[in-house]
Amino acid sequence: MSDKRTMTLNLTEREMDVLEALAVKKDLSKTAIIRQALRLYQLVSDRVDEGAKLVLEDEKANKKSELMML
Amino acid sequence: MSVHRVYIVDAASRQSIEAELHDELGIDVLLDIEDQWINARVAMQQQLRNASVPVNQWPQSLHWDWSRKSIQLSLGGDPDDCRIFGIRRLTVWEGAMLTQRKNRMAKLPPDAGKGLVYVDYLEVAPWNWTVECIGQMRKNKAVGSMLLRAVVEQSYAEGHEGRVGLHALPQAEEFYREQGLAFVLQDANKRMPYYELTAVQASSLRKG
Repeated sequence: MSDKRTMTLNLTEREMDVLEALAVKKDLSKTAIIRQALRLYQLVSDRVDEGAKLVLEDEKANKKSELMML
Repeated sequence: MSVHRVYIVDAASRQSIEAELHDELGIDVLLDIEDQWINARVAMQQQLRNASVPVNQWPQSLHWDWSRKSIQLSLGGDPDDCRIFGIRRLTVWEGAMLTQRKNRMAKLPPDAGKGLVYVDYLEVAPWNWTVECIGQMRKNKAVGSMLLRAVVEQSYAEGHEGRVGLHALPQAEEFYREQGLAFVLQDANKRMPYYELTAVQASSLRKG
């Protein structure tokens, strides 16, 4: 069972604007947006560590673009 | 969101225990559900490896990750199409289900062509699985059947007379047959069997 822990997050105004816009767009709390972003980052990071590439595909335009992981 | 009182069964004592059915959860709750289940998934994987159980005999939803479904729904899901259910006892999530209601048609006569509600995912918590090869007996029973009854109620509320469709993991086929669902076809695209509950079967399930 996982207990939740609290932290203070310092964001720039621009970052906070993005977070607030996403929260409104997705109808989620800012905490939920951060938690989802963290899971997604972890998922991508694990796959890249295993040698996978992160590719975005636009089926309609028949385009694929690799997201560079620096 | 609404919460209903339901009863599940303690498998060891066979006593009914009170739980809550939540029938309209937010997608952020899926993060909490996976947080509660992930340690049990990881521990079971280790036990299965230690017991040299072939991977094709592992529980077929062991690799599921509800937090990924949360992200998928956020990025591309239609909130008007998807509905999330969960059964919670005290603070612990005992089962979860994701349904879809839009543009789903029954294939099975005599209901073919009529609308139904589709179960995209249904899973009970890992401690509620019986996994004999590692000696695990399930903790609670009736969680899955309570979730199935919930989607039947959703189907009635949507005007679909209780009709439900789903793709079953092969290990879950017996459960769905026991609940009254009928095999329709082997779906070549999903490489999974597709089952439906007809209006007549839904009525029986509701009465039973």
